[in-house]
Amino acid sequence: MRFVFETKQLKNADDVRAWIVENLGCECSVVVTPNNTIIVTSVDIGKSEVDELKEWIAENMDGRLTKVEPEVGSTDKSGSDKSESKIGWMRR
Amino acid sequence: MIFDLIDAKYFKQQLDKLSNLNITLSQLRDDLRGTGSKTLTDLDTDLSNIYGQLDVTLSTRASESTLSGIKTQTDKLTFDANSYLKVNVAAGTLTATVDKTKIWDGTDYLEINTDGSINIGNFPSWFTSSTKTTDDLYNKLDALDDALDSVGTDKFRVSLVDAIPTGDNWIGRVKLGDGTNLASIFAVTIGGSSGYGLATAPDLIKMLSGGTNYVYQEIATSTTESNTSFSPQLKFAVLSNRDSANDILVRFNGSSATQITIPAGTAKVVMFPISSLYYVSSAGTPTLVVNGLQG
Repeated sequence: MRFVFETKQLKNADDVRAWIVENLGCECSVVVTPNNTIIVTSVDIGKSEVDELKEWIAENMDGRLTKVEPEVGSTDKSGSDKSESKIGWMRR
Repeated sequence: MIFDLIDAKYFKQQLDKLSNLNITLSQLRDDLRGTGSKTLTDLDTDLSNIYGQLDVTLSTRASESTLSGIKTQTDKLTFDANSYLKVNVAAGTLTATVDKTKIWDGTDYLEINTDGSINIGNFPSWFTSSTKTTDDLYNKLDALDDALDSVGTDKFRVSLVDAIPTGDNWIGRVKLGDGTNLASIFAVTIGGSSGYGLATAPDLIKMLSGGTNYVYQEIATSTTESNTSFSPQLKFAVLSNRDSANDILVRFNGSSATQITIPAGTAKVVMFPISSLYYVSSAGTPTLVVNGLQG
């Protein structure tokens, strides 16, 4: 799953990723920019975990969730690809 | 006394014969005794002693010819400087029934005991260790045999535990690949010198498809330096300056790193781990596009 938050740059990507791995128990990649935090998880996470993530982002990065979408390569816990195919040209 | 029957003349004639005795009886006694003054009793005693030591008759003893035959054989024996017998054993079965046998070279020895056990001097201690037995050796060889069973006729699988020794270690021919496609060796320039390198690349397929670890960012820069962080770090990135007029200056992994310029309308490919990217424009607000792969 891919999450886009509007945030302040109060934490770096390592901090965010470490919290997710420890508290949500899934691998992810994180990019923190001055105005956004983008999180891509390797597996889908449940609503309660999403709520927990939103709460932590709000408290620690003064942020709010603006977008959630499935991601190519993202799978559920059985390993099935839950996303639509996005194979195409590299975006420029 | 009876003298009346002896004729005096005869008696005188007999007495006259005494003049023929040229030594006295005591002299005769002493001569018979000899210089050792041995009496017949002494001789009898000596002969008795000698006889007492002859426990068998001489006729039962080996004859001179027999002893000569034996000597002929014993003369064939040779001895070293320490009077040890030198022996050459002829081919054939050698049987020795003894309590203990030592084969000795002056320092170490092979010892065969009455219980059949063998002591071998100067033999490797681990082999004769009280805690290591031939069963241990067998088990090791058995394990090695099992390990070799897993080696196919055309392949040998190993795990390199230690570093390859310093120096040239040539490997005849190595194919790296996925079983179908070979990784390639390319002529490259490394550090200003020509050489050959093994081509590697990140998972570009995943990057093209916008996979999990794919990063795409359009960043509006300004003349004030800002930064973006990545976790995991980017292992491959293409940084593009979309602006047609203004340059963008970037630093990798720290605000004090060397600034690199991305001129307007150009891009740079970075195969360098990037955990944070610091960026600032030379003027205006050019857009920095980051296409990268985390991992």
